Amino acid sequence: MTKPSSAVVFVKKRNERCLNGLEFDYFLPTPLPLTLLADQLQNTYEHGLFRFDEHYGSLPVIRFVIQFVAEVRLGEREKQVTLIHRMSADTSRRRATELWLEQVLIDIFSGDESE
Amino acid sequence: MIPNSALTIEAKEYGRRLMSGCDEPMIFHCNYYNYWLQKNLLINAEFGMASAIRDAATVQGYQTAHALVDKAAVTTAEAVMAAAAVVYARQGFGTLNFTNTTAQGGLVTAPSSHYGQCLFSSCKGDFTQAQNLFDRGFAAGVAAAAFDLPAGSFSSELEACHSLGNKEGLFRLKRRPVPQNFFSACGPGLGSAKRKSPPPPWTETNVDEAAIHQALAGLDFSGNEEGLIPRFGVMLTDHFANFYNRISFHFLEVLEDTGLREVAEELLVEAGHRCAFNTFGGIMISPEWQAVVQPMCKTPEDWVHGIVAVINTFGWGTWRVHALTPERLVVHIYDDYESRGYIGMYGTASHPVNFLATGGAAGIMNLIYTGHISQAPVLDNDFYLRIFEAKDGYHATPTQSMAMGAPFTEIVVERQK
Repeated sequence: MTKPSSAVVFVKKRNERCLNGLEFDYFLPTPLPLTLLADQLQNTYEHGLFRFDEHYGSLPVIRFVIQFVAEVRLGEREKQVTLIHRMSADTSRRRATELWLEQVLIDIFSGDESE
Repeated sequence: MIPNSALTIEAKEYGRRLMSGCDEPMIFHCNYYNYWLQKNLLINAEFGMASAIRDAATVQGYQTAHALVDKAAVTTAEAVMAAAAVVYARQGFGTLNFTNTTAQGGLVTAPSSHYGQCLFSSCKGDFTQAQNLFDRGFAAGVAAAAFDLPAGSFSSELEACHSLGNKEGLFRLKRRPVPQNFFSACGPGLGSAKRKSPPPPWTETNVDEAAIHQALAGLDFSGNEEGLIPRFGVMLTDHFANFYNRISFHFLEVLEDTGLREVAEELLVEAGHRCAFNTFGGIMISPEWQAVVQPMCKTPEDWVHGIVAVINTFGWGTWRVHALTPERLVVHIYDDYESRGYIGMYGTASHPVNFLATGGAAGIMNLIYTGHISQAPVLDNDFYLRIFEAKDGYHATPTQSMAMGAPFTEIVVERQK
């Protein structure tokens, strides 16, 4: 992958349409290294991360579900990751999930990892 | 748990979807429509719509649980209630716990709830009344069927609701000394005597409706572990058409008695506008749309055909574009759920009853031609008001209704001069 030189690894945007801050979109500088990102998410979450593979037409999409905590969608858009918290997750749990995802994105897109 | 094949949703002719075992027509609607419909129905407490909503939900809960007993061979009361809760979660309504419910009643908990939690986003500010009327009614109906009692055997008294700031929904079922009389469900409803088969989709478009259906069929639209369905940037419910019909038509009756039928119709059509704006709009800016439908869309007219193709997966009947220019859309709807429900409940109608379809059809044109949804605008309330109150916006009229005996429902949408 092309490693971005900018210090800005992602732009995080709350989706105002979705349920009082339940959904966050992370916009990335380059297209997602889907396999690498999926592997990193699985490697860094110890228990209870379930993977579901779907296709939007010909577009492969990976959904990771942590039950009662959150869902992460990869591949829906070329340079975007979507995080949707579950209703049950409290504020601190939501923040912890965001930090976990963000650290993985930083590790990959700041150049600590390469495909 | 329930057997995998029990109470599954099966595709039927004319775009309808039925829950097997009870033949209940099922349709998709989102949290925005559910919010706006409920808000409009509850506009004046004197109309008594809160109890009407609960009662309509009770019938659906009763039907569901009875089908589990009759068709899925679920036997004990505890097993029936647990299985009904599984169906409830699968349909996107949330989760229910009946552990403390006996033949005399008990406290039902709702750890998550579409109506309790997911209407927030449609409304700025807190609710002044609990929104979980559907949950309470459904639970009362399930308990009645589970203990082999008449449908109206339990009242459900509110103790807590997410929408009032509580951490979970709580409602106490109480056995009534004398069961309340209940209307019976109308099942799949009825088409008109002149009902016709729909023609094939419009061919002069780049949109391939069959391909869209095939792509969407591969996606999971069932409730997650919280019993909720986050899709297209909204929360979906795979809901009971008869529930919507019962509460909408009852509202119409109540307001007709007070000389306010036209107001009732306007409120029901407005809920349809909100549905179109949020559900159709949400779909047309979603990743699913951008991956599956948008590549086929070369013109604004293609966008109309694209969203109509998606609508035809909702269980709302079969929509067919009959005529389309930037100034005018004519939609024919075969077996629309509003007409089928009306005929099934009341017989032939004296007026069109296609409020959701009317609001929805206007919404399509307003989103595509007035709002330029292809540019992915922000779907907020300001944008809603701008496109639906635009001087040159679109207005829809039901020119014929299957509920009145026509072979299909026709909605004409025209740009206002």
